[in-house]
Amino acid sequence: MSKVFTVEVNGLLCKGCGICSEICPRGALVMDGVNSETGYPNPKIVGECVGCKLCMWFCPDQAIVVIKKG
Amino acid sequence: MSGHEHPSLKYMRKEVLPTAFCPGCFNGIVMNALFQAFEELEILDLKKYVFVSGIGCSSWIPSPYIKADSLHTLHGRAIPVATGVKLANPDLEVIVIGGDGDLASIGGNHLLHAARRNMDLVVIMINNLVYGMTRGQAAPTTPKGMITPTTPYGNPEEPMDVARLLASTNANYVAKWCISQYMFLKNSFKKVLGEIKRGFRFIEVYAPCTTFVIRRENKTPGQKLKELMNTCIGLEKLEKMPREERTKYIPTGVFKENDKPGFIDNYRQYVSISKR
Repeated sequence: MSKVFTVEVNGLLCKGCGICSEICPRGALVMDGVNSETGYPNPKIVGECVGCKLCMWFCPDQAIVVIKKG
Repeated sequence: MSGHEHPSLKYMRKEVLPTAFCPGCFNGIVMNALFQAFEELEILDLKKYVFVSGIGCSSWIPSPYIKADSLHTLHGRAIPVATGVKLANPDLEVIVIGGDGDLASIGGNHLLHAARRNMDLVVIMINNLVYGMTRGQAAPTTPKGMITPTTPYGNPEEPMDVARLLASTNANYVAKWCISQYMFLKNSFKKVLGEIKRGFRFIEVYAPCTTFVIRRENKTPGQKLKELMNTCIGLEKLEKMPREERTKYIPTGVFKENDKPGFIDNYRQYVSISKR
């Protein structure tokens, strides 16, 4: 599995609304656990990211960012 | 953290984050679209921009979060204050951000008459369908039959279509987009900030309140966003449909677009005539 893109989540800004995991066309994000500092669940990447950046633009709290590796 | 941050954050005051909005509030998506428009127009410094807002959830967007000069004014009076700012210094680009309760209900007359005068302002109205900040009472934009704390048996009134109302006035640009139509929204912001530089430019964003509309429907913000992708359709497509089916959909698109001289140009011409 060649991973060109990945996501990074700022746990302090994320409020766990789940828009990113719902909007991801590949279903690559799942809401996972509880952030011990904020008490909200944060998204976690489980599948392959294709870099469409939908999660980044639809994130209302500017918490998720798509980055290109290498 | 390894130094990567969201591209919107460079236009925001990081010391006041996280935002005061509810989890999943669509106001943040409008901010992303606005900042992406600024980024694509290569405007990195917002020194020439003044943001004016009234009272309401969406009026919180400019006041602490945008790294630019902003005025947080009285309820509904954002447009009169913005008019004053623009007339005092016409070099500034004045952007008004407000909600439907702020701009269309208490400030409805100001909105209508600023559009009539073609005042040189950019007005972004985030239509969340209710008075969100005061716990979701029925607003003039609440759809018929919707249950709110003030209309527990369903709203008996028909809503007001602000975009169509303003399209009938002298405004230069009137558009309505749904929050799910992110790219159209961003291109509309680019158009009013970069291309049409004068006159009254109005963009309505249909973004139902997360807490008082979407949660009442037992949905998550993500599910509602996906649903809106099907219910919001373009004006041209809507007109081809039979009349009975049209009520199920939300019309979006550009209602009006031209490049007529704005209030400042007309007023300068008037002054030059009077001095002759």
